[in-house]
Amino acid sequence: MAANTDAQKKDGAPVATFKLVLVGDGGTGKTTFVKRHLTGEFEKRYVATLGVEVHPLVFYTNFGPIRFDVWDTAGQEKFGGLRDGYYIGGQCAIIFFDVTSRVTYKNVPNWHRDLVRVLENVPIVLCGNKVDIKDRKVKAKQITFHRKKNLQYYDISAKSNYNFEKPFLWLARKISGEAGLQFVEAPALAPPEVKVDPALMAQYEKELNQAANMALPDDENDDDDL
Amino acid sequence: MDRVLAELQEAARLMNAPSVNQEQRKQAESLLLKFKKSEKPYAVCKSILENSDDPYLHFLASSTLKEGVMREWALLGDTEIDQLRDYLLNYAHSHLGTHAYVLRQMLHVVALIVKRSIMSRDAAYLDTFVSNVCSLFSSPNTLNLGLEIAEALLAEFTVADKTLSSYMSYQHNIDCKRAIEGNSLYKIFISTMEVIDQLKNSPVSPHRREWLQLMSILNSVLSWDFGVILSKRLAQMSSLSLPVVNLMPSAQWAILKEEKVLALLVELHSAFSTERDIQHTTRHCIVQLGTLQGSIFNDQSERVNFLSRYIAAMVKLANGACAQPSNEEDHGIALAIRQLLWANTCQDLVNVHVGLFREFLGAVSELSVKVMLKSAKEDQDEGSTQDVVDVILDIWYTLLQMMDTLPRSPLDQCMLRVVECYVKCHLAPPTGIRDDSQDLDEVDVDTEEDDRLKFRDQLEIVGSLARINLEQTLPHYTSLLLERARVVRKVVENQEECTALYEDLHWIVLLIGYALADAPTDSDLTIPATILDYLAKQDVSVNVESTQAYIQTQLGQCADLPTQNPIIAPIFAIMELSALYQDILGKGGCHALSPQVFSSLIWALTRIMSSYHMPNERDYQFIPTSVVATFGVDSPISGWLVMFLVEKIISGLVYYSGEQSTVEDCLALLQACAKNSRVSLVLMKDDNFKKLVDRYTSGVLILPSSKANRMLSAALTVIMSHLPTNEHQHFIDRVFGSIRDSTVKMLFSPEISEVPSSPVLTQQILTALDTFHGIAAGIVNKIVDVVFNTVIPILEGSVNLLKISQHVQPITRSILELFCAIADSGILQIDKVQTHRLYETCYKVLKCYSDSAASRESLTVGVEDDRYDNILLCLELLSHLCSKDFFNFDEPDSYDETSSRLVLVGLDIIVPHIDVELLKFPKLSNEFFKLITFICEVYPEKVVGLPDNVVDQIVLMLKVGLNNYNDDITFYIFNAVSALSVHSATNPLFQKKIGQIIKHTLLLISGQELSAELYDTAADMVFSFICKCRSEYLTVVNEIVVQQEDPTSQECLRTAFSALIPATPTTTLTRRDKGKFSKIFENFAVNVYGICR
Repeated sequence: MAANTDAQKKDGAPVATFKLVLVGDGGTGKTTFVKRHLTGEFEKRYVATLGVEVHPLVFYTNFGPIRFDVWDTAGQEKFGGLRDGYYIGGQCAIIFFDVTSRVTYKNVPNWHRDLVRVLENVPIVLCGNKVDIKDRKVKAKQITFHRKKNLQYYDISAKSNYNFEKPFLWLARKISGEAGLQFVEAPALAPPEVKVDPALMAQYEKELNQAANMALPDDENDDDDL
Repeated sequence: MDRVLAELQEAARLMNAPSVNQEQRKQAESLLLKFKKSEKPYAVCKSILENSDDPYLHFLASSTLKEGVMREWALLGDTEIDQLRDYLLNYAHSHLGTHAYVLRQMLHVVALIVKRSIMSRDAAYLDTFVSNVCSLFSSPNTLNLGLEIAEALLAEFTVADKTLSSYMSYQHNIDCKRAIEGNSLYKIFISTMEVIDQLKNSPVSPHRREWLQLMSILNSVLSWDFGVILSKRLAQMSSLSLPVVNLMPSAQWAILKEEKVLALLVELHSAFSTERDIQHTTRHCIVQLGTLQGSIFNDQSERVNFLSRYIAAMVKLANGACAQPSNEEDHGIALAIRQLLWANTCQDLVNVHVGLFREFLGAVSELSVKVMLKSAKEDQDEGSTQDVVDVILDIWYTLLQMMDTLPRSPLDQCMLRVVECYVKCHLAPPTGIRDDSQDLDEVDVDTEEDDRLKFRDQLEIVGSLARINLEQTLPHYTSLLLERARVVRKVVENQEECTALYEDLHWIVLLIGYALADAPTDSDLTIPATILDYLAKQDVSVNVESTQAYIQTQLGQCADLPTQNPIIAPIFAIMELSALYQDILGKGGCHALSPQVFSSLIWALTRIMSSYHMPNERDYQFIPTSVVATFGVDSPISGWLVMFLVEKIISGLVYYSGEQSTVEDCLALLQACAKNSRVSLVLMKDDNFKKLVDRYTSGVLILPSSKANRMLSAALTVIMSHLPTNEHQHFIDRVFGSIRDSTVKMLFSPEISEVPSSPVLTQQILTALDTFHGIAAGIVNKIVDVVFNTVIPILEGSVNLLKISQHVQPITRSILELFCAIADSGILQIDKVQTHRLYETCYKVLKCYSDSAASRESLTVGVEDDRYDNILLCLELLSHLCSKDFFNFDEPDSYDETSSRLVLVGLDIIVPHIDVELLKFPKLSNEFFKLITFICEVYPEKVVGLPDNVVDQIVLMLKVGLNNYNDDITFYIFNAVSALSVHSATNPLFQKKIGQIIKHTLLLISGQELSAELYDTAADMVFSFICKCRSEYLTVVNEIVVQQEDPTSQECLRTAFSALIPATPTTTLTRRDKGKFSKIFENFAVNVYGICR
């Protein structure tokens, strides 16, 4: 892997670091997506990004740790800052749109055109966010742009973490050229709260099972009365 | 100069260094941004390009030049602009080794300059420039540069809705596109083809970059939208762009229909088999060429010749694709075939030689089978092969629609093969090849779509294809289902693991459900025309007596079905499996069965029964005898069937009471029955149904979700509506009387104060609220009075409950939802007295919420989320109440006063609880500004006349909303201000207030901080303001002008603002005037860009 060597592994060896450019219309959930990795929180509220925020995200792979410096850029024109000035030196990119808003998908070709003017031959993932919302406006069948431009596409949901790692995994494989690359542990930067999740899920499941079990015998007996 | 350079250098370093803190980066960023916006930056930029060796700074300099020249265009002369253009071209020429992104940015500036210059120069300007570019193609040293410029030009001149340059007006963009279509585009194409001809015999590798560029240019030309350009408004409204634009060039492009272009593309495609990027573009070029149509063909024979050659090429490519594993290749070929079929009519296809067409169908079938088999083996999450399956099925669906014209054979056989293969892919071995090994991962409940939805499009097409050969496919489905049904009992008895069996059953049920019923819209299920046609021709009669005997003694025993009728038999097979399920469930086998299969069965029964069971003759021209005999209203079987369905619904509610989605499916079946008045009437006489109602009435029936509770009471309400009017009250008393009485009693008794602290009482009240929510949602004209009278005491009692339970969010939420439900479904149907009573209660509930909200806010945890939910519901309630005025056609004036007053008072109550933080929730701000706009549009004169403090609050909100949230909100605000402008003509104080919004908007436009899509709406607003409040407009623009320091800018602005004032004062805002103004306004936006500081 060609990489910068500024970040250090625990044992002092360099961590492979890549600049990832995150673009897409305002309000499509780019910041929420990146913050998901950092805090595990889901923000319902919308605060527009000004210019750019850079978030280092570390993933542990079977080839060692890998760090994406994610350049989360402003989607709204009015907060655009340097716009394509942020793309320079990018080694990979993610284009975001919101599956509940057609116009954000219509704008994908623009983002792509601006990206490839600066970044030649870098792997790019197209992500349709907010697939958890039932009222989906851009149907899977209508998403064809990635085919036209040979990009990878993923449905994601920043809210429910659905497919969160997929874009990073695909990019990591493309950049490293290692098709067998896998993530081997949970994202490093997630604070302890994230560890609560499995327990919470287990508890939730337990409650569900209890509810189901409680309801059954009761109703079975009642059935004859019907 | 050196100092500037050093500063920029440092800022650039900080900007790009991986480990600096955000603060440092922000500082560096702001310095770079300041530089980008600097006045007359040309000399500094040139100096950077010549003296710095930092590519980042070169890029920055190019971007700054772009911003500068576009901003100061009006202040620069033609000579200066041409000099800058030539400087950049010369620089690029002499620095060919520079970083690609710098070179591209420079040429992007050149392309923009050329584009913006065109209209003010002579006609030859563009052609001369393009000829010079093409002459660069002839020398190997300059080829690369020439291709780069050509690419930049094409990217800039394409008009594909969003790719328009915002530095120029929409019309300018369109004019430029037309200009390049004149000669230049053709010139670029021909020159590119010449280079390709020269290069094609030399090896790819030394010219890889050139090949990429060449194919990309060719692709841009073949993807060019030669069609008529829509007006701006229409273009914005157009749906999602298709992946492919049909190629419709003028007669000048005759070369495209010649054999050599297609042959060359196919040759290149195979030559680039190891170069994926290049091959990808070549493939796309081939797809595009297949869409060639329009006046380029002089007659049909030319067209058929082209079509035949293309089809022959497709046969070769498809056969080739079958022999290799590439997914992209499959997709490309499938896409090319689909687009070809979409671009041609069946008359054209009929004229293709029969043998060739047969060969073509064979090749498409082979490819289809290959793709589907591959998809069955693939990880579903990756979904890349599923895309190809979608395209493949589109092809067959297109051919299906041409069936009347095309020779039926071998088309029907090919379709049968496709259906059989699809079935095989979704069944487990040995019958099928489905791979279950990947399904063991955890299923994400939030995002995992039900197969019914996920595969809906595919299943609908496969259903249509199956109906073409229904004598083969439907009996096949029936026997597949019965074979497996026979195993179920054994498997349950032996307690075997049988996931594969259930997955099979689930899929077969889905296939049958989609084959037997068609849904033109989601709620409108019908018997498909193909089935009606088939049965009209050869209806296999059904023996009612033997069928009756069968259902009484053998159903659920997996015996032979009583009929071989290909349509009726699968329906019985579904019933057979349902009966079997119920039998096993009754014997305590619930744990061994799959709830998913049960859900699918209930779904299929809903689908089939909605179309076949007691059909309404008015919906069909003809109903086949076998359907009438079996399922018609007079058939004994159909009456029995109601009982059968009720049993299934009850089984679901009892045995799967913990499975939310299964219960909801069962209730959806009940709702479908309720909708059909004939079924409803039988239903009400059914003993089991009566018992179900009794269980419900006595509170024994526990449903797993709020939604299920609401669905059930809504279904019962709809059933009631089919009864004679004099029975409504009796029904409601019997079914809902007890819960109504106990709830009313509780609401108005001292006991109510214990609700918040008692979980049991809380649950009880929530269930009751859900019940009334369902009743309110089920309201229809015939039962308005009885429903209203049932629900209104609950609403009235809820006000006090809300006060007491202010800290119990589920109750608050449920109460507000109940108000929304009745306002949503009932507001247009209730009479004057009822409306007043509802308004009064709504006022009280809003007031009560508002009073209690203050104390709620002192709590911290999760309070914001609750506040968000509640305010949103309050706003929704107000929106629903507004609609009374909007739709009240009978008595135009009677409600106006109360309704508008209520909504305004309501807003007055709610607005204090909405702050800027809360408005950051997109849904809430959307609802809020939508409502404000609605009020401003419907009652502008009332808003203008509101007390000062309320007006100030509303204007403040509008100002805050402007440009702080998303474009939709800005859009609402512009509309609101337009409406207010019209009605403030006689109120100078009010004009002053909205004048500030106009000023803010004009400044945003000058700073290009407003999306170009909003210009039209902004224009409408400014036009209304100018016409109605002219003197205030002059004051506002004067304020802007005097704030500028530079006299040239002042002058420039003064001219631009004056140009907006219509020559003859007008106060009638006609559509025509608005349209005219819109164009003037767009030019204004281009002229003032960047001037205000």
